[in-house]
Amino acid sequence: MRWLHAKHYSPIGVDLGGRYLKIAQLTSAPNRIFCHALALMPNETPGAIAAAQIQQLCELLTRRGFRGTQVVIGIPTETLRVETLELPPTQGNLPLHQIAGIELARLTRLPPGSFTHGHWEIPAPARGGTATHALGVALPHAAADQIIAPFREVGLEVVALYPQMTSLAAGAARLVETNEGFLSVIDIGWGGTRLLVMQDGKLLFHRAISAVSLSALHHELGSTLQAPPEVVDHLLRNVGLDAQANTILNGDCSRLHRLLQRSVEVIAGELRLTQNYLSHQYQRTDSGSLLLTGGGAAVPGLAEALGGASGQRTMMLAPALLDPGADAQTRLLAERPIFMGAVANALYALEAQP
Amino acid sequence: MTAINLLPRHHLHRLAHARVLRRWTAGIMAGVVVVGSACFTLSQVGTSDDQSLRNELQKIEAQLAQGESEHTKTLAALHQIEADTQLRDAVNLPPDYARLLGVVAQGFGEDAILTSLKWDATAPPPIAAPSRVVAAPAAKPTETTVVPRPTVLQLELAGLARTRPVLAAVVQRLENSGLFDEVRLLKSNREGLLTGDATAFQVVCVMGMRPAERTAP
Repeated sequence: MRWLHAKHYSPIGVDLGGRYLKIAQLTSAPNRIFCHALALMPNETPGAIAAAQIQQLCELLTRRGFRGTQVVIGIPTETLRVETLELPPTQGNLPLHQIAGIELARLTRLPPGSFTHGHWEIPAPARGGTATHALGVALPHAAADQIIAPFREVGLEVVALYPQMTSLAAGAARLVETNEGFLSVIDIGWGGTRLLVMQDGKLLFHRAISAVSLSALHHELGSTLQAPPEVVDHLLRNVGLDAQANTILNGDCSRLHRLLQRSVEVIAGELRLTQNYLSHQYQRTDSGSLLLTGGGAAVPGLAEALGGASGQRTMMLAPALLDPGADAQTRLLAERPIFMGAVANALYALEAQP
Repeated sequence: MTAINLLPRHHLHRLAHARVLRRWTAGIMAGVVVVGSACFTLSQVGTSDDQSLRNELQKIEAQLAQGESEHTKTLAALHQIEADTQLRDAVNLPPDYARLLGVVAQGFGEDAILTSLKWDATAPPPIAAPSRVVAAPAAKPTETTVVPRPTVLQLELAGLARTRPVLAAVVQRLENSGLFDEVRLLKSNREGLLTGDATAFQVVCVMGMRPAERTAP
């Protein structure tokens, strides 16, 4: 039960990134939600957390002022099985959840009962007939247990496993209100880039753009420029596509710009392809807005370049879009889009609570 | 968009169990705290009741002790008054000489003879007595009431005893008669009597003395 006019802390949101583990906790006061604490920790096991690192995580939580032991984890899309489902028309008391489970077992070839699943309805395509269209996600129990086990060992209580893409989509819909066309979110992460497209607050489509990832950029820049990882980090974080900040490369940013520009073109191409497909499916011509998030979104000049290449209004999706009421350090961290996944998980949990 | 939680069912069950356990624990703890507080409060109230009763009891005991003490004093005063009254009845004017001489005769016995008897009555100044003692009608109703002391009567006896042990027995018998507060042997000496000798003696018997006025034997 929430006490009237009392602060309420969300469960601790965790985003199992490929390079970093992102952790966030929100605070809700009446008519106000803001970041309570944000933290970043190097992760040696992409998509999970190593048992050896969980103690470090506990110490980090204590040091950074996180409260409570409840944790919600965003499951990376690579760990999930995502399928488009065609279910019977919604009428009466049809057990759509069970039917979706059977359908997912058939499509993913997972043994029935060996996975947890969920689904959400999406608008029917223009020529979709009377069937209920849905997107279904399945998570094998073995994978879930593997993710939960290290947290349980140190007394952290995992209360929810959210598909990272649904919590991110919900967070984007919550923070950016738009009624024009599709709302696209490009999440540039260490392991890959993911494109999410929403309509009316519902996730319609997702696509993995494996050709673009921060790790690939990192590797390519390191080998091209013969630079150590720290220098590459600095270039991606502080120089990027910004023509003014080129002193570190003695005025020669052409190779860096070329690499980044190529990534922008790949993303823009995938975005165009997707929007053409969706426009055809749903008979809509307006392209809508584009949100850029994830660790790669912080590369200077990338959002502007992507906006120019796609011809869409582009903006950064970062936790700072929430009420910036926390302390100075948290406000500074909230400017970084890398935390958006963890914040989205915490926000999802906070708003799902009774 | 509705939240999709992919937590496996066995984890959900465990969470639900843990939640129920937490609630029960919290409930039991709250119950223990409430019961504990109630017991503590009751014990405090009980202790304060006991304490006040104990205080009351002590007060009553103190009052009783004071009352007993006063009762003893009053009783002693009453006995004194009774004794004085008896003495007055016995020897007061007009004195009952027959009774007095009877006591003296018993004291002298067969082996001693009385040669002289002198009766002297002196009235000492009055003393203060507690107010509970029956006051004289003329006395003022003050905290201490002045009561007249009984008259001190002095009986001087002179006589002859056959031997000294006989004299000692005479003095002993006079003391044991209960009539006199004090029996003092003033002098004794041997002197001739008829064909032999005897012990001439002089004894003073005092009546109506306060205990403090008596001389140590």
